[in-house]
Amino acid sequence: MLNIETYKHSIYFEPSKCNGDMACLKVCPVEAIRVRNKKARMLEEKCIDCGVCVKVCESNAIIPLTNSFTDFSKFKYTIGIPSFALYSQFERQVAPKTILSALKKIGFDEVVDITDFCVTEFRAIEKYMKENPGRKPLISTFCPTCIRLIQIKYPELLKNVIPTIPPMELAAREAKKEFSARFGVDKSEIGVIYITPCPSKMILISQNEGTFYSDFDGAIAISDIYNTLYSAINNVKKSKENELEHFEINGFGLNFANIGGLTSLLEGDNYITVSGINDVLFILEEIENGKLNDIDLVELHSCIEGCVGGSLVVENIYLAANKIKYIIERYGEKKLPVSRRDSFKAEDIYYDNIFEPLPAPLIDSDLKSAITKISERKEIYSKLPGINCGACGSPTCFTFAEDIVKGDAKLNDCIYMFNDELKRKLKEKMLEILDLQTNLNEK
Amino acid sequence: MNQETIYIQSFNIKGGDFANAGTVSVKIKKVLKEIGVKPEIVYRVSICCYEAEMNIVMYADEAKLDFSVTPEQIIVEINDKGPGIENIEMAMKEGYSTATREMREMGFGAGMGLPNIKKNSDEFIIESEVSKGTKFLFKVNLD
Repeated sequence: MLNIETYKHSIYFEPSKCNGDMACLKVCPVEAIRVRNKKARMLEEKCIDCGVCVKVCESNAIIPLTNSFTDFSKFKYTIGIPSFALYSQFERQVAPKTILSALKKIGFDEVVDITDFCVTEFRAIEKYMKENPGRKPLISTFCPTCIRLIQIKYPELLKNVIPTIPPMELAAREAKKEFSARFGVDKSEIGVIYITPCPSKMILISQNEGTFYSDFDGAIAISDIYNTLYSAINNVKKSKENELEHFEINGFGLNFANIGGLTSLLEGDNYITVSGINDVLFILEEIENGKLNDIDLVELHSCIEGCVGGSLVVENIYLAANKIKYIIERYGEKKLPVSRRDSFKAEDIYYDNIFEPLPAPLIDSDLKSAITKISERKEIYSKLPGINCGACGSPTCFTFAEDIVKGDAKLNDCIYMFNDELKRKLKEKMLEILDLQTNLNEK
Repeated sequence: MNQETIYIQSFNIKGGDFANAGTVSVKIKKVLKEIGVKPEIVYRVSICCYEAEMNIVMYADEAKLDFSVTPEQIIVEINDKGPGIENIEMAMKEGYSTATREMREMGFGAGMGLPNIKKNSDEFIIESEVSKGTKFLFKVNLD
């Protein structure tokens, strides 16, 4: 049974729902899924919470651990903070401020847009880049999956990651502070909720420990809120302008909604924007091999087209991306606003040593045994057909060989090996029978 | 010292193959990471391997790289067939290079290769015979 207190992931494999069709097995970019006895399960030390498996599972057995409204009944007040992805989920004409108004109408006491905090974020990143010119390439990402991936597979690159607190986190902290001050209520009475396009945000929220701290109290999936919000938007559209609360969108910060938005605002052009988990893997590998040392900044998004490509959105990702571009075209602004001063201090914007390495356990902690096991794996692998069919329940022949060494699979789980053994046994039996017959005939 | 070899792997490197330059050091790095060698050691070994590999790609015709691990050390021996190094003492100096203009335009030949290997290894032996080839041997201690 799942222990929610100690569980470190934002998705959960429910065995009773799994139909064993193995759709998830092949799409996992970090080979963190195994199917045993027709049930898929996750290798917790390898999973990076990218949610690719959630998208392909037709039996809904991979469950995102986001919240529902009722989870927040313990709070007297709730504040909703939507991801930019929410702005892309409705018709083009529906402006962000209409969506925010509708969001407030469906039951939040306060709704906060994050564009203002993106301006702060921009300044913090710009400053960090100026102060760390020698460390190339710097990596900027607000995506918990990308951070997790670096922690697990590329821990040496953690020093390249710009340690700014993401804009939605800044928004959560400020919103709570402001609401508490304005209405004179205790912070513990206020629940701050992220309206999320993907479950990965939950790994931050559920691990509230040390410096790895989130001011969010939970997250609701865009797909879970969509229908309610859709009708609320239609009601808002019928309302008169003066009946609605006014929401200000910061045009400069709005650029962050788009992939490459951050880098398009920076001076110079020596930047790379990468989206989609497989491409992110590729580029991190290249960075680790020293191929990108001339690049100033790499912006990473685990989902194709960024957050609009999350596993918990409703709209087709390319239409959503198109709408984001339209919104930026219409309400965006390329000039950094100068009139308003940031109230943030540097220590409010940067994490100190948050990103600790989380390397996957070694094949063996002893060097010599590790090498022995690697040779064993090589030996087993050389016998396998090498077609990576996945029928054994491991994603590739190589991972299967590794699983055998670990004791998590046996050679006969491979249908080719099983077939060979069957033939061999059959032959033995046939010979036995023949022998028996000759003996009988002789008698 | 216990010098029992517990892992050994050989690679061939072709001179002039700029498209694949660096792939051997990447493979070695993967092995070291997997067997649990400390990141700092992995980093030093892969720099040495990369520099040696680039040296072969730039100047030699072909080479064989033997990579081995003992409980105490990582040992890399490279024997190349090529022009050899006329003046080893000069080649070991930072900034000295016999790279052609084309190589420099591609971003190679800064004269840091051999000094970099010396800097990042615990033992570095280089022997060369002009118009025959060069032998590199470098060791990095595991602790």
